[in-house]
Amino acid sequence: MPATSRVTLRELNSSWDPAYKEAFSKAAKYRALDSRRVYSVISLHDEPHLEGQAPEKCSDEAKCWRDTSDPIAEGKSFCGSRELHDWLKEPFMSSESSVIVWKSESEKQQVLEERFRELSEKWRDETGAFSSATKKVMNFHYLRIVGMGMPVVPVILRELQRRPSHWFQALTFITGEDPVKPEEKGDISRMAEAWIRLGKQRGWLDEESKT
Amino acid sequence: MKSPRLERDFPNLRSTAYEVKSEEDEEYNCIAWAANVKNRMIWWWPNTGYWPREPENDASVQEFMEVLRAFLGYEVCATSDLEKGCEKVALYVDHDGEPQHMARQLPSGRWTSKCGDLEDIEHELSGLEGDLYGKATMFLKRKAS
Repeated sequence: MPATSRVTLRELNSSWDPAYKEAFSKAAKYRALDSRRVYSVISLHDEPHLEGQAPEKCSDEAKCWRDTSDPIAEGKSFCGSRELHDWLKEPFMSSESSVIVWKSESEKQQVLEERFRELSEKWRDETGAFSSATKKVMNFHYLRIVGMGMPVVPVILRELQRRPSHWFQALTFITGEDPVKPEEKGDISRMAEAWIRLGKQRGWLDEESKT
Repeated sequence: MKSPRLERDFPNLRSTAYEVKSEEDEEYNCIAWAANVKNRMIWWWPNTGYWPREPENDASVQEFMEVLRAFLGYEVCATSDLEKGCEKVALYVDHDGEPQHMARQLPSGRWTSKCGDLEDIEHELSGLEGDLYGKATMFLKRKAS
């Protein structure tokens, strides 16, 4: 099932999600949108579709746009066939117009991983010299990763498998759990192993994942 | 070998002698390195890392002094001057009064430090002073091993 989120064009423009922003800036400049790469379906309405309602059920042909190259849409009929940039020229479009963004799970995952990578690089750059683990985890970029919530947990665990580091507080903040035994504290490799074990037990990581 | 990254974080290194001695390593920090705790090269820090007791004063100078005395055999001394038969460490304290780093004196009189996740370096005491670590204000010594 595709994942959906609903935002206004104004929110889209100021959204933290770089993929949203990229799509908006392309659309705003009336350039062709590479929807295959970023979005499956974008539906534009003053009165938005109900979340989860597919645009093909929409009766308002004037305001619905569909990328027919979308594999999710294959074999279905859709209203409208105009390009997104044409719809954005219509008077009913404003900065408060609602946009439903449909993304496949794999696309959503890719955006999440790119975001994690970007924030973690900034975090390492700003806190690499800190000896205080407490100061490391109070960093702005680290806290933004924490703010990504449960969806980022598998990404952090895979990072721990690849490169053990100070992700333990983030995992505890997000999940409310702490599998690290008192005698393992400070031993980065053993702390990482404890989290990877718990991740497998909870289903946050594949069982086949390397330890 | 020099490090542009370290010189960015510690501008005093640009005007003092220092040398990078290792690769980066995220598995141990300055305390393990300075105290020469070779059997436990881990990340020491109150609350968020290994700490040999339940911290009574969070990451305060008092907490560090008590642990360094009780668990690692150090006693306070007045200066950073080289003393024969003694191994000295310096505690860097920031402007909020919180310890941020510990360096160990080498028999040559120079200092060795593990800078967070980054490299081990040999340096002058003032080389790491600045916004990040503050100043080297407390000195402790123990019998050289």
